Order: sequence, then structure tokens, then C-alpha cells
Amino acid sequence: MRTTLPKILCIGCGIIMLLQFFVPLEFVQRDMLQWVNDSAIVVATFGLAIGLASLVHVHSARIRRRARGWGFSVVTLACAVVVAVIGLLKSDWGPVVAHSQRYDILPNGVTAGVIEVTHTLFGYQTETAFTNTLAAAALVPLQQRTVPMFDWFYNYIMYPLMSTVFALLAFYMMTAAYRAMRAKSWEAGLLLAAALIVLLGQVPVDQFVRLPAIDGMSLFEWLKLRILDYPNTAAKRSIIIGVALGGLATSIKILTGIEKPYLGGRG
Amino acid sequence: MLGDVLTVWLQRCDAVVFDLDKLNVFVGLGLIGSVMMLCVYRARRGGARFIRAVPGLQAVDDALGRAAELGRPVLFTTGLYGVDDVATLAGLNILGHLASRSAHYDSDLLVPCANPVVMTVAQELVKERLTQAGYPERYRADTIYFITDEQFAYASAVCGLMQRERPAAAFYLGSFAAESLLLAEAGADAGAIQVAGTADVSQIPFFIVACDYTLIGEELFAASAYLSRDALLLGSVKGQDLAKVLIIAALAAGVLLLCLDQFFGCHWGTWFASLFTVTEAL
Repeated sequence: MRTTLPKILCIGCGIIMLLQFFVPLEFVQRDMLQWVNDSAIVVATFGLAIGLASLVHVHSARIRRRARGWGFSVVTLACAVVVAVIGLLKSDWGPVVAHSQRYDILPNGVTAGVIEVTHTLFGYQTETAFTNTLAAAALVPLQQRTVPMFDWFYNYIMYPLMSTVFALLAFYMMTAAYRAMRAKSWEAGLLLAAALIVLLGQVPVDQFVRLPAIDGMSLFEWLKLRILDYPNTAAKRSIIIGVALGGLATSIKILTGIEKPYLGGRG
Repeated sequence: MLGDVLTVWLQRCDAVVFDLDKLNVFVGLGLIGSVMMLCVYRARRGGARFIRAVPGLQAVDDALGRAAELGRPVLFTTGLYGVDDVATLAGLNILGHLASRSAHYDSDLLVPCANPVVMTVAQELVKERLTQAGYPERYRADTIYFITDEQFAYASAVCGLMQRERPAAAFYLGSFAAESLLLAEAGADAGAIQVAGTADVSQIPFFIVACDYTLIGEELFAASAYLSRDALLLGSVKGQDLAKVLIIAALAAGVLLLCLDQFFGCHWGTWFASLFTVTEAL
């Protein structure tokens, strides 16, 4: 039973997803699909609780053992607690971190939304977004509310942190490109030549050097398009076809019970 | 022809139970599925079991052996996505083999997860494989743990983990997005032998330049068959190859017929292409 029920559920859900693609009946398209999607949301919610338990367990153990870098675990747990508490607060509870006002402008009978946000924590200056400055005089406040502190934390702490990590990619791309573009063999040389042409095609070289034009494009831009449209697209499509077949084969193996990663490989 | 017969039959039934615009998808799916199942059936009866060498998978034992020699851990991640992603499932299949091999070499296996459901499946999988391999005492739930589902928070946590633990081998097998290069560069900086594999075409170049070995596209899905040498799994890989031969034949026929259209003014190529057209986006 421990392995049979999950197998039945897996095969059943797989068949429902297949049916909803081919069968246009409302019962299948709406109700059955909705049931599968709702079940996925329920599983994900329970999964989140398990994930939180794992996070607390692993990091509290590291702090207890004074494992290397245990200070990071303290920060992680403290942040998890603070964000969870802030997320549980009602939007009008806790310190006011920002006000927002919503207006409707009525220039010549056309209605447009405007949101004005005034941040009060840490001295952020007023941000105002006008869709039509000419009609600003006709602003009529429709709604005034306190911005939830959770949103403020996400927008002004989490988001900049994520952007910072994302920005590191530019430097990593440069080091990766440096490694890739060393012509150690004739294949690597070919790659280097193609990369140089594409790079030159991306920038307006013809503004500095007089180059022949083909089809109304500069030489390097034309070459870049030829490289991207033909050999590059052909290679990408061959990988995509292989991936699609591999995905289909894996799906069939899971649906027929040949492979059962969701059961820990047993059964 | 078949479509017309079905339309008449369904009109008599007074209810549309099958979307005929997707009949070609249904036939293609059935054909490829049948070819695969036929190959699996043949493999079960002892058919051909040859599979070409994949350098990235041949290096798995070397990487695990190196980790054992250096006394450093092995890191494995399936990326950001959940178990509804087929590449993640393929990665989890490989994790099972890695778990038993790393236990054999007496190396620690670290699996930081970005999805709690993937974490639960990974824990079950590793526990089961270690038990099957005769090392049940080597299972530690705290080495397979959840970090966060935020993309760059996860990437920074794994990069930090690699800086502190200095893994000797790192495996990135699953679904990845922009964090792929961050992880691979951090692994290279930690001096790890890196094996990566993903189905995402836009991330493959990043792994190729930053990792020692990369499983390109379908190789990721064939990896579990390669590592386990299980007859049924090898049969399905054989089926995949046969399906690819069918697709290549269809492509060649399409090109030929479209050329004939150009030279003789006929419409065979257009008709052939229409067989593969799906009116609604997949």
C-alpha cells in the first residue's frame, strides 16, 4: 500500500493531464484540471512547512555544534523569524513604513490610475507616478492605505540584495568568456571567430570603420544574423528535439512505473 | 482521411470528446510511445543493451574517488524547480546512483534544495539507495536540506556553502536558470571537478564554459540508464534513438517534398508540413 497508492495517484494524475490536452469536455478541461492544480497547491503548502522545519532543524543543529560558519545560521534563523512575523502582521499593524494614495485623473473624460507612495521609514523621499502631468491638478484621492511592512521589506531589502547577486553575473560572464575564447584547438578557434563576429555585429562598428553594407546592414551585423539564424538555430533545434524526446521518454517511464524517483526508487 | 471518419463518427455521438485539431499530436505521441515500449519489451527479453560512452558520466567515479582522497564532500543540486519538472526528476534519478557510490567511497554528499518537495523526495531516494547498497548507517537527513525558493538567495547560499566546505566534486543536474553560471563559477573557484547537465538550451553554454563535463540535453535523461545499466532503462534510451531516427526521416522527407514543390509547382511539401501543424499552441 505504501508504494501502490502513490503509483496509482501518479499514473492517475498523469492521465488527467493528458486527457485535458486532448478532450475538450468542460468537465475535463475545468473540473479535473482544477482538482489536480488544487492538489498541487495543497502538496506545495505542506512542503513549505516541511522546508521550514528542515531549515530550523539544520541551522539550530549547526548553532548547537558551533559548526564552522555558525554565525551565518544565526543570521538565517533571525531573518526567517523576522520576515515570518512581519508577513503575519495585518497591513495596518506595526510601524507605518509607507503610505500610498490612489487617484483617478479625469482629463477630458479619460480615466487613468495614479499611485502616490510616501515612505516614512528611514527617510525615503516621496515617489510619485503620474500618468498624465497635465491633469495633475484634477487629482481626486480615491483610496488611502498603509503599505504592508512585508512589501516594504521585499522592495527595499530583498529585491536590492537579489539584484546585487544577479549583477555579479556580468563579471562571471567575462571570466567564462575569457576561458571559452582561448583558441587551443581548431574547434575552439572556430568558436572564437564566431563569437568575435557576433560581438562585432552587436556594436556599431561601421560608425568608426568604413565597411561594405549587405542587404542594408553593416557587414558584421549581416554575418551575425547568418551565424545566429543558420548554424546556431540548427544546433539549438537538434538539442531541443533531443530534450523533448528525453522528456517524453522520462514521462513514459514514470507513467508506466519503469522509473520511480518519487518513491525513492523502490517499488 | 482518418480525421474525416472520426469527425463523422463523433458527430453521430452528438458530443465532442476528442479535439481533432490535435489528432496529429495524439498519433505522434502514440507512435513514439509505442516505439519506446517496444524497445523496453525487447530489452526485457535480452535485446541489445549497448549505450555509447558519455564522458560526463564516465567521470562520475573519478570525481567521487577524488573527493574521498581529499577528504572533502560532494555537492549535488537539481536546481530551482519542483518535481513537476522532468529535468529535475532526471536529476533525482542520478542522485540515487551518486548516493550509493559516494557511500561506497566514504564521501559526504551535500544536497542543498530550493524546493521542499524535491528535498523530501531526495531524502527518501538517498535513504532507500543507501539501504539497498548496504550502507544504511551513512544516511544523514541534515545533509539534504531546504535553503530557500528565491533564485538568487539560493544561489548565494550554495556559493557560500562551496566557499566554506570546498567540495571536491560538484554535480548540477536538473533545471537551472540565471543562477547556473554563479554556481558553476563558485564551484570552479572552490577547485571542484564539476559535472553539469540541463535541458535548458540557454543555460548549456554557461555550463560548458565553466564545468569540466556537461551533459547536453537528452544525455541528462539517459544518465540514469547509463549509470544503472538497467535493461528496461537502456531499452527506453534505445527507443528514444529510434524515435529520433523517425523525426530525422520526417525532416528529410519534408525538405525533399518542399524542394519538389518549388521545382514542379506541386503541393506535396505543403500537405506534408500541414500534418505536423498544431492549430492551438502547446
